[in-house]
Amino acid sequence: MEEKSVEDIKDMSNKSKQSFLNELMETHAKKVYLLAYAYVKDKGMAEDISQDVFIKCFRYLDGFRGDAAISSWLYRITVNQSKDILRRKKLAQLKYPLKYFEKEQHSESTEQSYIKKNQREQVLQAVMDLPIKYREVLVLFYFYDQKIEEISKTLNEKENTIKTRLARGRDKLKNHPMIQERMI
Amino acid sequence: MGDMFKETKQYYEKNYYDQNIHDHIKKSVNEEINNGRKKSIRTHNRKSYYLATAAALFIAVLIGTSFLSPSVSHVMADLPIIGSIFDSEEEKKKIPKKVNKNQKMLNEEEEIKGKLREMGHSIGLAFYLPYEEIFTVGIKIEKETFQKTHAELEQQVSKLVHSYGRENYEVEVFRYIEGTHIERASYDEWGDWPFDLGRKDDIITSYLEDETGTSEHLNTSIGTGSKNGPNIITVYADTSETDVEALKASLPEKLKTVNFGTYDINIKVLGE
Repeated sequence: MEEKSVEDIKDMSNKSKQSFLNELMETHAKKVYLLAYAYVKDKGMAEDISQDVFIKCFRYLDGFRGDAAISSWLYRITVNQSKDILRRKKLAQLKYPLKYFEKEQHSESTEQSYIKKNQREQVLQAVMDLPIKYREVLVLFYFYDQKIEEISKTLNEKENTIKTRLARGRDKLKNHPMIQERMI
Repeated sequence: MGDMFKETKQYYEKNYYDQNIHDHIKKSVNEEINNGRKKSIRTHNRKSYYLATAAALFIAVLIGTSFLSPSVSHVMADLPIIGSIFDSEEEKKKIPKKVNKNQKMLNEEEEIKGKLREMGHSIGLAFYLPYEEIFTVGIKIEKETFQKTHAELEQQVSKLVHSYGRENYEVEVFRYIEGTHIERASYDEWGDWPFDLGRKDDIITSYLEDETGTSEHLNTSIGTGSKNGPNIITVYADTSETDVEALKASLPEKLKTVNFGTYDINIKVLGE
């Protein structure tokens, strides 16, 4: 990356930074939000996390170096922020969405429910039901098109760990009742 | 299996995100920036190479994005292959990494702690945060005494830190409350992302735990206030784990802190 002088950065006002941030939000807010949602499975919390991510982005813009894509950097902050929230809230295994599902099961048979549910929703729910360590890898790999190496950096885990979790996550998914029929 | 995930990805993006969420995020972030905190002095003191590389990045990013409208880039990012190319050729940046402290700095920390103890203070934690150029100190002290002596305490610590030639360091003194969230704090946590936000959240949560007299750690997150309004600390309550009514009854409407300002208390109930 070509190095610029200190004068260049001095010329960039807070207003310019904010304008740049708005461009980033326009492009990446959706991805950031959906990644956060994949962790917390709560709309309000995902919005709060997205907000925090972009505020940090604004605050620490001066400290970034250029050997990774901005999206990777944003995803890493999102992952850290989401995990931080989960760790603090002891919600690593949120049962919240499952409760909704259980309510549906009370009113109609599982079979009826499956038929009514959009197949994509079924797959999505199956992914969301996975333990976080598998879910995050599958989401980044399939929904964010990150390569193993990128996921390794995003999650700060070894590549072999990512490969193992990806394989196990897929296996678990295959055995998930909501997806089994569709897969086989 | 790939096609199945591709379809699911499209479904997820289409059905779990909408313009309202998008607008809300943008609005909240801009409000926080416009009405929030002043730029920290330490930002101006950062080393020049940070600024120089940041300048290079900004230029690259601005050039890279100038010929792509947000809507085009948005659509491109949705396409698996094109999206990854787009990302990789787009603005390139990297998170700052946690600074590994050298032995000299670690020794200084111990010496400063020792001197503070000699002054009669009971220290919960005290260490440098080199990335932010802050020396943070948690003192075990009564609330009222802390409120009265906070400025004086900061002066004392500041004098000590500066005596080691670290005039560029700011000092942050907070009340270390035993038996609360703060006991989990360490440099490993605070020296890394999310830096000050995580640290502040830890400290304020411990204050709130002290206010409510709860023996369990509260699930909280610091959010932004409305325009010109106070900051907000949101307490999350999971109905499967928490007596929500008891929690609501124990929470104050506001939390006033001598070093971080005033926070409105909100509660979000999960699992209802």
